[in-house]
Amino acid sequence: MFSNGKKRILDNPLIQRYRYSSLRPLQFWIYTIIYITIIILILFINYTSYRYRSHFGDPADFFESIYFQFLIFQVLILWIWAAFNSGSALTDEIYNKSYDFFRMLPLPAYQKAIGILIGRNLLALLFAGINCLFQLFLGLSGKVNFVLQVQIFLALVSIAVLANSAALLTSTNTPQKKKSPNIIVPILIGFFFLPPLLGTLAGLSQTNDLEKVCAGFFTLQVPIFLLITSIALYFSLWAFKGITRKFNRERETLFTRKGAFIFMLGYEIVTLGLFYPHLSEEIMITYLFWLASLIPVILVLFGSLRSQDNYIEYSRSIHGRSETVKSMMSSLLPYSNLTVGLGLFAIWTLFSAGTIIATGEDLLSNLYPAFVLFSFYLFFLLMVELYALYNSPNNKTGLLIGFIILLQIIVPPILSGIMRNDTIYLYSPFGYFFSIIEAPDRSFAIETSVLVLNLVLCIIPAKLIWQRYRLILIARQKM
Amino acid sequence: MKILEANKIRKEFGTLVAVNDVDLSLEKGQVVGLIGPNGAGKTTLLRILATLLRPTDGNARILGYDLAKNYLDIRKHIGFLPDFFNLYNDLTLRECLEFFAKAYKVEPDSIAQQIDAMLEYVELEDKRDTFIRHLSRGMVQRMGVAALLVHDPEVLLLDEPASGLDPKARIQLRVVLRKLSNEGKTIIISSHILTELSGFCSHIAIMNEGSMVLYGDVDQIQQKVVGSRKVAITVLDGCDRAVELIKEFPNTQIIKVQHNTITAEINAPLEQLAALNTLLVEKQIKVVTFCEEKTDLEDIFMKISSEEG
Repeated sequence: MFSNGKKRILDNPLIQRYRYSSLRPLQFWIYTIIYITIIILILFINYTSYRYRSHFGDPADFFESIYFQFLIFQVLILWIWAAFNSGSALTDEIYNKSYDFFRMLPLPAYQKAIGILIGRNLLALLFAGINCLFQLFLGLSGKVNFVLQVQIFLALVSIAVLANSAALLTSTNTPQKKKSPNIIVPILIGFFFLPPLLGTLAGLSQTNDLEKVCAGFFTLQVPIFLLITSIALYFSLWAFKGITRKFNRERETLFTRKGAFIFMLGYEIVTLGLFYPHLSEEIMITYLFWLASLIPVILVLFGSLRSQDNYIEYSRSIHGRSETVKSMMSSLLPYSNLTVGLGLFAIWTLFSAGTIIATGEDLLSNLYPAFVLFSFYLFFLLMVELYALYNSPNNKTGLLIGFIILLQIIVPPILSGIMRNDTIYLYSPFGYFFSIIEAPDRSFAIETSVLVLNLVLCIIPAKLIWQRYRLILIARQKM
Repeated sequence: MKILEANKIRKEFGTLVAVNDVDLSLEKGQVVGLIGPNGAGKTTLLRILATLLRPTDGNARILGYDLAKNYLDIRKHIGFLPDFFNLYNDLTLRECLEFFAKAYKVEPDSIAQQIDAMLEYVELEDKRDTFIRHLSRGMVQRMGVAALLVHDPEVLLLDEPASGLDPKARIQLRVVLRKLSNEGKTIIISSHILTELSGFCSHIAIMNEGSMVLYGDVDQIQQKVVGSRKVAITVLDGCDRAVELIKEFPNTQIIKVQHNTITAEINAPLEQLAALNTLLVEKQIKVVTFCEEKTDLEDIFMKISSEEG
């Protein structure tokens, strides 16, 4: 049965298509020579240190050290190189103008996704496979606990699956027109993300009984690598589902309404699970949970953002049911981005309230910051809706809206610094958030003034949005 | 047998109605020339029928499969050639066709044979191990047709297949398309260059501003739009007598007489044309040629455009 499944995976025509191009002798030998050189370098440098500088106490230390160096090598292959390959597959198809042929292939979306993820990474998987054998040998020779080896392997693979699926998913939004490649993001990621990651991996070798180190998830104590594996696999499933949806319904939003709310619920549960064992320690942990769980309220909103064209298309179905603009408006509003934004925030509020109750703090006074945060979010939501509605007629609208949001974030801290007044700092969303983490005791009057100011700021965007909704419905009546 | 039946297909992009409630019905073996100016909605309609674009409204059945629900089944049985395309530059022609054959689940035993047949069909058999990036534009276009045909689809949707080709490549592509039409494939081929389509289309569909202005059999449309048939009759002698006879023939009008060739316009079905020929022969007129001057698609399109305007 297993070999049947393996055969079915390898029978994927996309894997065979990439096999032709990536395993051509010249390309194969170029990569293989680079790979062999790296392996020789790792072994040579370590052996030199062992032989001439007595860097290692005994041979087991020597092998253990190389084991963790190979782990870093695996991370570079599976998380960086492979993810880059996966993320550039669709981009290549689009820029090469072969994307329509790819889309027309009568393969289910999951087969296309598997075909790309494996096919584009045949060489990476081959080298990673050989590295695994090296690691097994080095791990056993270096007396690395076998359970730990298995845990590390699972975490390595699950994060690789997540990184590759996420890279492929983000590439489904590649613009049709070729832009110059954006190298700033990879450089920034490489600069800020890689050194601490590699440092952490290097530090692992110094930790004793790593396989027994556990992290709390609600009331459970789970080995840390297994917890990382589970969470990575959970989000990989979502990424994979996102890929299949984008392959099947290309021009539609990444999340359906139901999907957005289910994802949000899942994210909140996972985050709460991680924070739960520490909630009772101090109120600041609760607020940190608020911050961590607020991330999808923004990201999922973008993933389910409907454009003005979607509204116009949808208004056709409500036009048949009702005739007047007023009655059509009542059907359009539930369809709007505002509804999904409010729904996401409601879920966040529920979980936030839950954490207050769980810690035994006073609900009303501790939840008041959530209302202030809501006023910030409402302004942000309205700006996003403005972007969705006005970006088709003028694609520079996004720039203006981004600029306004940036002003709201940076102007209060600047003014606060110039005027030496800490209160002004609170009028920035980030400033406010940091203040509730750092100084939970704030003046009710100041908080209310922040809330009122945000609500006042909402008036103009709300009016513009309402006008645009009316225009869409009037345009539908004339179509 | 109905191969394709589209019902009130509509596609909106914002307030632009790219395809406006289009109905289309195709029987097996029909070759439909989809004509219209740029921006008429031809490409959008073809992309909807190719399952690449979801219509705002309306639905279609292709080979009995529902466009909205069974798009994977439809893709197995159709071939779509987009207007601007390229194939996989990093593959050779053989590898590329092998990939498509496997993706479309062609019997493994017959793949090699099918690849050879397709390369021969589009006259690229000597390039089988050449990389696609080394082909000329015209060759890529023909290779695109080969890639479509490798799984022997029943319906072909070709969007401006000759655009951007030089005259020689255009002629070579026409030869391929003519072969396909002779083989009885059901084809929709869009173009705004009308001469490209004349000669092998059995039907024409004219689109303008998203709407289907006219659709039907070429002869029917010609009759409907132009209203009359033009005949050129060359006689060996007795030209005056022939002119008299033609003038007396019902619904007929002489347009010009030049040397021994009489050009006449007859507002009647094909049977009447045959009757006129018989009459001339019976009256001892030595008819050398008797041929209907086909109104080409260009004339039809211009006439419709002027009426629309």
